[in-house]
Amino acid sequence: MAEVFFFLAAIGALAGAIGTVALRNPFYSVLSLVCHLLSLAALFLLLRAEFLAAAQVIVYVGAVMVLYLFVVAYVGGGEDPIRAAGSPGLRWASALFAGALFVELSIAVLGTGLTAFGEEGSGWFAGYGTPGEIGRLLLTDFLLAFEAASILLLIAAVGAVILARRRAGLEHPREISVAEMLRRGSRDEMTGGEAGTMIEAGGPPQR
Amino acid sequence: MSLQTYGWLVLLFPLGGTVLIALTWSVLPWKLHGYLGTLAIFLSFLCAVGALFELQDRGEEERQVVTVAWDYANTVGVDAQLSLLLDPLSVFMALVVSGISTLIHLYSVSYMASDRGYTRFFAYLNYFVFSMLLLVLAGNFFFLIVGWAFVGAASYLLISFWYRRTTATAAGIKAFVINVVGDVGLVLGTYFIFKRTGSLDFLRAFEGVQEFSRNEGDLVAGCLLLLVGAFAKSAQVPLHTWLPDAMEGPTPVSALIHAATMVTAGVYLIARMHPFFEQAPAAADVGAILGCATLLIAASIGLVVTDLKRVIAYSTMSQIGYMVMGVCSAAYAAGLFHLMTHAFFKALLFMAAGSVIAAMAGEQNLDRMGGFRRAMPFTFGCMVIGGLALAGVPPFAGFFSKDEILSLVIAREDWHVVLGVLGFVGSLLTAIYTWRMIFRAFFNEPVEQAHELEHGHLYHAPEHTNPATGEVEDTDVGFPGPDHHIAEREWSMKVAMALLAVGAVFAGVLQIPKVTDVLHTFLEPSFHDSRYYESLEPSDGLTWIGLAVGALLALSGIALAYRLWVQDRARPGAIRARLAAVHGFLVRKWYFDELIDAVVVRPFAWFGRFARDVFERVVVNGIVVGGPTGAVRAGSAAVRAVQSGFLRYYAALLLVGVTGLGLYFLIAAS
Amino acid sequence: MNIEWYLVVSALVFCIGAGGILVRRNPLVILLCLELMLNAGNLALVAFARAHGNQDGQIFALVVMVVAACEVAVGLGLIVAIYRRRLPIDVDELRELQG
Repeated sequence: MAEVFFFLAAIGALAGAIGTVALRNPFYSVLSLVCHLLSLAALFLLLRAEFLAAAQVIVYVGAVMVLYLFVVAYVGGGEDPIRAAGSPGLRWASALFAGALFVELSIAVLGTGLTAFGEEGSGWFAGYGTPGEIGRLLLTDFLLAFEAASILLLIAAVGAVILARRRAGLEHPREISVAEMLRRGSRDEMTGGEAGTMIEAGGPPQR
Repeated sequence: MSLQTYGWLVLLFPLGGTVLIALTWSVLPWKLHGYLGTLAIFLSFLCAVGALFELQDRGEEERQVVTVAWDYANTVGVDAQLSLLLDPLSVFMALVVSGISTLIHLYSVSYMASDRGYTRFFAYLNYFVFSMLLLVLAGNFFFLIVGWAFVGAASYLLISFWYRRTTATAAGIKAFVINVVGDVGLVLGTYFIFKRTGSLDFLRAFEGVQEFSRNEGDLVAGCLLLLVGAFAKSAQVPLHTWLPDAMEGPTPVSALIHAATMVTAGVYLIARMHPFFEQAPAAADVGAILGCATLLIAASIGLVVTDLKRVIAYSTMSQIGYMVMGVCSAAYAAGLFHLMTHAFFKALLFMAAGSVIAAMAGEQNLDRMGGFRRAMPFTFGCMVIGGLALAGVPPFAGFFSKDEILSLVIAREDWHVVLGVLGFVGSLLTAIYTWRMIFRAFFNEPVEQAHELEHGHLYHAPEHTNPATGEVEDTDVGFPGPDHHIAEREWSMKVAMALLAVGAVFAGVLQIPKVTDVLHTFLEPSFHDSRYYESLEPSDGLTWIGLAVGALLALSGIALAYRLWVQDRARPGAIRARLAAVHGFLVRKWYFDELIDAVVVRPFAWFGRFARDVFERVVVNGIVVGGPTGAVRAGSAAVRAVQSGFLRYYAALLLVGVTGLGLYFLIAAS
Repeated sequence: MNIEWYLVVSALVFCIGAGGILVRRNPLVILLCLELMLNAGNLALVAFARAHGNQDGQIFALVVMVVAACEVAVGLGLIVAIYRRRLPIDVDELRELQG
């Protein structure tokens, strides 16, 4: 039975991956990636990583992909003609090298002498992959990684806010925009978006 | 003091003089510099006299002394030392050079008095005397070449003394370039000799002359190259074209450098190198033939030129032809004797000419001169004495010296007899052109300048001009000064000219044939290794015939000149009209200038243009420089293309790199 | 299932993601492909954890997930900022650092 589920999940993952890459509309790409992530969660379950599967669905699919959908809706992103600014050669070359990389990795995996790979894995104990166990490890053996990850999340949040800030939301933009302070005057007739990076146009393009 | 000390002092006084004058040019009053310069050379002359006495005190065998000051380099078989060779020949030359130089310095004290460059003049003159003494006293080839080059530089500096005159600077460059050709010949000749003898020192090299077989190719080549050097310095055909142009320098310069001393350096060189020339008679014969040719060519041109100083210049060229012919035919003492007497009367002639030119306010053309006999008696007297000596009238000095050369040359027998006979023809021509000059300048009706001078008033030209081209000049530094000084009014000029006149009259006493043999005996230790010095002697009959013919030719030359330029004044014009082609040929100086221009100057100029337009532009800039720069530019352009800014290219490079690494590890692990 | 199968699937997804980065021009899609590669890495980590019998790989995968989330946040913020500046959303056009 496990094999059946494995193949279903694997096919789902691969289909999702191919869809992400091949679909023209970025919206569809995001949805395809969602499908891929869900299949991956299934694979995690098959590997007895229960907590991780749940985290994958809740965090990755539920938060990150939803954020993606919002941004894609805002930015739009038209049809992406496959005409590469480089050359068609680039497409074939990249396919070739990606394929070559896959072949190498497969050889590495399948030809390995490590015995554990040829089986289902070493023995597992009760509580393997449960939230309790993961939580215990996070707070004892991997405390540093845990704390570092939380700081990273804080920084990323602050950074994202600053990056995507709108000028209209500030009472006195001049205070903050240093680049603008260096360039006195002629700000009122500014068409916006022509000055330094910290001066955003007022919202979406109006003209 | 010892001989060696005297020898070094002879050199050091002029050197000290020039340095002192140069360093105090603005500190001391200018008149003092003239006296300083003269004093320095006079002291040098005294030391030369002292050296002479010291030398004669020694025994006959010990009269060749080498004194070394410093071992400059002694590696790879080259022994270059600062050494002097003090022997009769060098002391003789030092006496002549320093003696004549003292008198010319004295003359210049008044002659150049109004020139703004007075101090510079004396500094240069002292430097020249130092270089010339270095040349004659040098004890090895190295020092000789150094002196040779210094003398060339001094000549250039002094010819272009009035440096704002373009004719003067052009003449200076011409002289220098031809001298450099001679320098190259000298150095190459030295190389040929040094290669075999293994030493740069004169005495050691002379001992090594036996390494060469008689007339061996290497030695003949070396001697011919030395002849190139000698001929360039002594203005012999074909390297003679610079000497007439060198008359652009002030008259004392012409007197000192281009009559008495520098141009005799070639004669000294051949005399000094006599062991090599005797071992390679082919080269010596070439030298004798060219010397004879020069004396005839120069004498013929002297018959037609109209510039006073240039007549005397061609006369110098001709007389040095005699000297060269003499030393190349192994008549060493005779040639050097003529060198000494020639120094006296030629310097005297130049000084007198300078006085006449001053009376003419800078005009040098014989066509405009005349009748200065009553206005300038002293100058006239000196000119007559010099002219008689030059023409070879007994008992003046030139008579004995010139005839000794000719009789010794004829005594060589075989084909040298022809050279001797041609030499006699040349002496007839010498008398004619010398007295042509004197009669035209001093006889007949006085010109305006002479008239004014008779009334005690020195002529002043309305404006100062270049005597050759007529361009107007000012009298600031770089051009001649405003005043002119004649001998009758300046005591220093009178003293100098009087002393030279005495020498011109009485110097012949040293070598009266069959009576006195002073110079020949004195110089004998220097030529002890010559196979001709003692043996070559004319028979009694030849000697008397030679003296008689010489005197006869001189007197008939003077008579002919008197007839043509005093009595029958229209004859020269008629002769010229009849022989117009010949006259034209002579006036164009036998077309030597045009020949050298076509054969040497134009090919070199073409080569220079070729080097600039083709070689420099195409090869050097295009290939040698352009090649690597082009390659570097292309390479960097290729590398620059990688920095395209395309994100996907970078990602592709990453992927390719990872794949490659993986492949490597796969292979390494298997 | 043998662990190898999971690893092969992971490799395949990774290479698909790599190829996708090279061929797509929209930076949003490129970020998505980047997510693919990260997830392939996660799968490999979890498979290795199962092979070793401890949970270190799962912790690692959890942290990777955190990092991926942060990176997505910042990257999307960048794209929004670019969009607001009216620059084309095309990596081939966004070639120069100036302006």
